[in-house]
Amino acid sequence: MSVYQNYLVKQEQLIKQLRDGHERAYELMFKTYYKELVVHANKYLSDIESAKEVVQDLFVTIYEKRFNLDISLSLKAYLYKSVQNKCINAIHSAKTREKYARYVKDNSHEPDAIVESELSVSELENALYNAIDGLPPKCRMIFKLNRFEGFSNGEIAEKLELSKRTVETQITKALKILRGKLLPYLAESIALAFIFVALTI
Amino acid sequence: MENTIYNDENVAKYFAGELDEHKLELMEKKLLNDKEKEKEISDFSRLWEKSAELATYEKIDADADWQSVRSRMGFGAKAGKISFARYFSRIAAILILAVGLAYLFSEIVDTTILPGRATNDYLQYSATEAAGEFTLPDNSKVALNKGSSLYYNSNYSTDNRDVILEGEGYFEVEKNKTLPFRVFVNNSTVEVLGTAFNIRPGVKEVTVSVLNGHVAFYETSKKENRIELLQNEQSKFDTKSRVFAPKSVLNQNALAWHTRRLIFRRDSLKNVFETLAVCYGKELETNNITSFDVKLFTSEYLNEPLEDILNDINAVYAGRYSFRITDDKLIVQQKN
Repeated sequence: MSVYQNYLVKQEQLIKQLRDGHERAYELMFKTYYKELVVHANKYLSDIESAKEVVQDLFVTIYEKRFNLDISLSLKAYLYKSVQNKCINAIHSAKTREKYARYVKDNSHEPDAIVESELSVSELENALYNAIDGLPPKCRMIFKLNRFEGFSNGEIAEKLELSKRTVETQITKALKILRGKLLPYLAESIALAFIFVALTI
Repeated sequence: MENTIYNDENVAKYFAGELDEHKLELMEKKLLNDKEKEKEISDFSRLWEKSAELATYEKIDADADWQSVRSRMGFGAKAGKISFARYFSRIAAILILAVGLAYLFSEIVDTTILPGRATNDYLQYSATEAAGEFTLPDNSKVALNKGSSLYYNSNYSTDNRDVILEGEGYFEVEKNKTLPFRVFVNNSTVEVLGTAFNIRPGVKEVTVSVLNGHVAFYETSKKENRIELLQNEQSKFDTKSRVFAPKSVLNQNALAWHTRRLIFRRDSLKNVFETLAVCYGKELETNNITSFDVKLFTSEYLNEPLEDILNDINAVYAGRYSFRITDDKLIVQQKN
C-alpha cells in the first residue's frame, strides 16, 4: 500500500470515528489542526482571541452535526475551507465590515485557490514550528527569545548571563538545524524562485 | 579575510543587522562567489522571517483549549476521567429511561412484554414523594425520578435481568455477559450491549440517549425495527407511529435531574424553562406567555435551588418574568 493510500485509509477511519462521536478522534483532530487553524483565522481577523473562538466553534459544530459530516476531499482542506468561511461570515457581521469588504471582494471569486495556497504555507509553518520545538533546550530558548519575543542578541546575552558571542553561535546553530530538517519544504521555494528568475530575464 | 568572514558569529550578526559596513561588503562578496553559501543564507533568511511569524503559535494553548471544547461537546469532566474509566470496568451501563406517565403499568405488562408472568410476580420500587435510589439483586443501581416506579420479577438475576420502567430512571448496570440487561418501556425495549445510556421522557415517545458505549433500542414485538446507539447519541421512538427519529446528539442536560448539574449554552428561554421543569420534577405552566424573549440564555449550575436559578434568569431578562413554585408546578408569567 502506498503512503498516500495508507493516508487515505487512515483519514477514512478517522472520519468514520468522528461520525461515531469518538472522543479520541475529536481530540486527535483538535490537537493536530487547532494551532494552525487559529493562525489561519488570525490572518483574516487580526485578533487572536476571535480566531480561537472561530476555530473552537467550528470543532463544536462538526461534533454537533457529525451525522451529516460530508468530507469528500481531505479533512485538512475541509477544516481550512470551513475556517475561512466562518471568518468571512464573522467579518461580514462585525463592525470591521468596511475595512475587510475590499479584501473579501478581491478574494471571493476563487476561495478554493486561497485554501490551496494556504495549505502549502501552513505545511511549512507547522513543520517549522515543530522543528523549533525540537531544538536543543538552550538553543531553542535563545532562538525563541529572538524570533518570538523580539529581543536582540545583546539583550538575550544579558538576560541569560551569556556572552553575546555564545548567543550568536546558538542562533546560527538553530538556523543550521532547522534548515537540515526543513530542506524538502525549502527546495520547493527554490524551484519557484528559479522560475521567477527565468521569467524576469 | 573573505574566507574567514562566513562564520557562525557573523551569520547571526548579518541577520541581526549588526555587521559593520566593511564586513557586510565582505560577506556579500563571499556570497556572490560561493553558490553553496549563498543558498544556505537564502534558506536561513526564509526560516528567519517565517519563524518571526510563528510567534502567534506560542500564544495558543491547544491542551487548555481542548478541555473547554471537549466539555462543550458534552464529554465528561476530565478530573473524574480515571475513576470514571475504572467505574465502567465494573459497570456495564448507565441509563435513564422514561415514558409518558399516561401509560399504566397493567397496560405495559398486558401488551407485549414478559409473556407468561402475572402482574403479581413482580416486585416494585416506587419513588412517589421524591427521587430515590435503590439497588437491584445483582447490585445494579437505580435512581428513580419523583413519581416513577420500577418493576422486576422474582427470577431477576437468575434467569433474566428484565425490568419494566414507569416514569424516569437512572441505571448503573452491573456487567453480565450471559444475562443481558433489558428495560421494557411502552412497546419498545432497550438492551445493554456493554455501555452507558440515558432515556428521557416525552408524552408518547421514548427517548434513549447513550452516555457511553453501545445500546440497542428496538420495538419489543419487532426486533428488526431497531436502532443501535453509541456514545453521546440519542434517538426517539414514537410509540404510536412506531418510527425511530434519526440519531442526534444527546441533550447535555438529560442527566440533570439526577446530577443536579445544568448547562445552558445559547439556549432559548422556552427550552431553559422546560429543562428546569424536568430537572426539578415540576410541570411547566406558561399560560399567559404568547412569545418568549428572543435573547438566548447561557449559564451553568451545580446543585442550585430552583429559586436561585429563576432569580438569575430574571436578572438577565430585566425582571420581565414572575415565577411561582408549587409542589408539582413551575408557573412562569410575563409581567406587563
